[in-house]
Amino acid sequence: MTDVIEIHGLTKEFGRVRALDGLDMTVREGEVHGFLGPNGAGKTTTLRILLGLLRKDGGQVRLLGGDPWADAVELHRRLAYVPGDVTLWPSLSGGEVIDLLGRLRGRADARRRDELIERFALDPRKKARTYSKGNRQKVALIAALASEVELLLLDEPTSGLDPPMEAIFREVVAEERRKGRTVLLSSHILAEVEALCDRVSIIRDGRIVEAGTLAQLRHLTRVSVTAELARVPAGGLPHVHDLSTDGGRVRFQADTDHIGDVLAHLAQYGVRDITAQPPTLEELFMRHYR
Amino acid sequence: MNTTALIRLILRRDRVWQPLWILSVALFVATTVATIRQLLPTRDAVLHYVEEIARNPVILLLQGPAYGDSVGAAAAQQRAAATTIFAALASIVLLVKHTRSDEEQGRRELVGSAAVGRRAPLTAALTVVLGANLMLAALIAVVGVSAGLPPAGSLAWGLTAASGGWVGAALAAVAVQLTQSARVAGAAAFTVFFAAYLLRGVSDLGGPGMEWLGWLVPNGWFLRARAFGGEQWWVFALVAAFVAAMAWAAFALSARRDLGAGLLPPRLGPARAPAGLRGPLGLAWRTHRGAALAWITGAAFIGAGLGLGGQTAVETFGQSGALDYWAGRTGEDDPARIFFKLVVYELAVFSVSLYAIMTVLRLRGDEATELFLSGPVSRTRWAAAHLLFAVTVPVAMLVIAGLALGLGTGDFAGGLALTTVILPGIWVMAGIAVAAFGLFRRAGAVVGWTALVLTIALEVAWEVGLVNDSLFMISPFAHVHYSTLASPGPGTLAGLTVVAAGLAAVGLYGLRRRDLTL
Repeated sequence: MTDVIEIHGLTKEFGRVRALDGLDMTVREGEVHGFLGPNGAGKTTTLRILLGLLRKDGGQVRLLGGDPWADAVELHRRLAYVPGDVTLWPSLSGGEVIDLLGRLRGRADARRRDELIERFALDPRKKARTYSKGNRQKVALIAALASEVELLLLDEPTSGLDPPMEAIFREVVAEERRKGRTVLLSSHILAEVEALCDRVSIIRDGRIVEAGTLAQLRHLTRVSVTAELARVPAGGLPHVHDLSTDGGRVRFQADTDHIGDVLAHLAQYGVRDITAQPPTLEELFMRHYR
Repeated sequence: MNTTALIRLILRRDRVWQPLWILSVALFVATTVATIRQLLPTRDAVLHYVEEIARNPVILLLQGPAYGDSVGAAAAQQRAAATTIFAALASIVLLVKHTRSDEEQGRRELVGSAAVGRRAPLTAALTVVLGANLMLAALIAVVGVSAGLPPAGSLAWGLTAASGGWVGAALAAVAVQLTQSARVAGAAAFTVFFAAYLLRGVSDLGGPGMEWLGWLVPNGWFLRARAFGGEQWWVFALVAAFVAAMAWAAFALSARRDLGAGLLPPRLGPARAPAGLRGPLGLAWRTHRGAALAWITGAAFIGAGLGLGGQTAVETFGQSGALDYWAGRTGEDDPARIFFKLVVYELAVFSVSLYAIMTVLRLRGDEATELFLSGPVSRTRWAAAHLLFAVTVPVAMLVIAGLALGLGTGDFAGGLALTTVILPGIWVMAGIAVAAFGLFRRAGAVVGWTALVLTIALEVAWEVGLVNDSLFMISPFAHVHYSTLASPGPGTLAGLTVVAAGLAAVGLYGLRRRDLTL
């Protein structure tokens, strides 16, 4: 398997603000890769550098085997992009925008276009001026998904969509994956990433702080435990974090590697009831942002 | 509620543009008075000038009659109408920016969700724009008095200019209620203003029998304030009543519509793109076709009007000695011919430059549509498609204006020669805007417009004699000048074209290297 996107030590500054600070990321062919991070962490800047809209200050970036700045036009034939904040030409209708972008990329599938318009319940005759944020996003999504491209770059594509449309979006992305397309999905909707992505990269302050499959990330981290005890432990417990007590009930996070020791230790206090859960993506994510 | 907070917001957002336009118009008045003093140094000269004006149809149509025989009356006759147009233009742009543009771009929604009354945004915008015009009136009065003109006349001129702004703002306040597009609202308000202005011109042209026609439109009221000729102050009461009525209508209309909507329902577009809408060129055509058509039509009308009326101007001015000094400065023996050439030249140079710079700067708005440039299209191709219009539409405008001139004068070759010769100069102005856009990102627009203001200032200063010939030569238009200063041959025209192409190349090179403004 080859890498569709390879980024090493990428830096970008806007004036005195350092937006990207040595970012490393790899996206493999055929995977749906989640790009997670809060607002302002550098997700959009990274995507715009991948598109050659912004110029990198340092580091190496390869996209589909080419240089995203120098080979922009050639590379753009093979990818489609949905910006996070979609601006359209106000006097063009949605259908006209979809066709214009399709003709530009040169590989538009007319049947797929009509099917997507119907599934996303878009009225293509309305002028772009009158669309809501969600509808503008649908226009960009339909244009991107109707193109026969190798790579989809999606920047928070569902931030304006309602839940039924979000569900349709997930279906469509799953279809794209089955066709072998690579998807880089920037998002902060964790359920969406959990449902769709093979691997994730978590960005914070312009650096990747965690990357891998969800299973790998979970393994690296902690288990949430809630237990009902006969006696409450007086001091702390080894390998235990964020301990809180409420009568005989304790909640804590335990290091996954030491879960056996923790349970053995806990037994001394007379366990009446216990539940242990693998961390959710949300917990993983929040650990980096607290 | 909270209108004052919104007023402060508008003042903050426009802290550069507001003072700039007010000062520019005041400066324009100051240079006019100085020019008239230079051109008409004696009382006889003024008297003679005023007599000639009464017989010149083009001047009556575009400027109106003189209402006195003093320097002040001559200056007001020359430029008071122009100050009303400038004030109206600036007021319409500002009012639309703070009402419909805010709505179109969703900012109004943010404000509307705060503790702000439904009427507050329109009230705030109107307050600021009406207030700015009041300041303009005061400033023009001060400029007039300090130039030695009578205070009453100076104040009347100031109020006349401000009335132009007030009426423009009032028309815009109604227009923004009707349509969803800020661009359409602004264009509609200005078209109505300008049509009313021309109606007043027809009335002045028609003599006393047609005077009633001018009284039908507000432009007829404030242009008949008779500055420096026995001021009729009561016309400003009519203007105030008109503005109040329009503002009332605007508030009534806005109460009947939803936020973001217009009263005229938006039309549906096609579900599929027509075959022509493909690639950068197809998109540029869609972006520019409406404006291009409007400008070319305008050029045809103004050209034909000048051609038809200009001939009479040539005859009447041929016998007048009033413009001898100035004709001498331009190096021409026949003041009549040179006057006609000047009018054509000034109209063509400044309006077509305005179009060219505006068209180049549309690139900035289009740059924000990230979607297009994420497709397989190079920045150069995208920019070149827009620039094609900045280059070719001026050609069409000047050729059609030249032919339309010929229609009136019967001399098609002469008309064409008069207009098309300035083309390379227009391209240089467009080239400056492209270079600024490519190199500077955000400052691009400021540099482009400053270049135009500087060329106008140089032109005026040269006419008055403040600037000598060699300094004037830095203006591209000095090389294609109507006067004997320039005798543009193929070499000059080719040279200017090369300069324009070079500037455009610098801009495109800069654009390829810089970050996009998204």
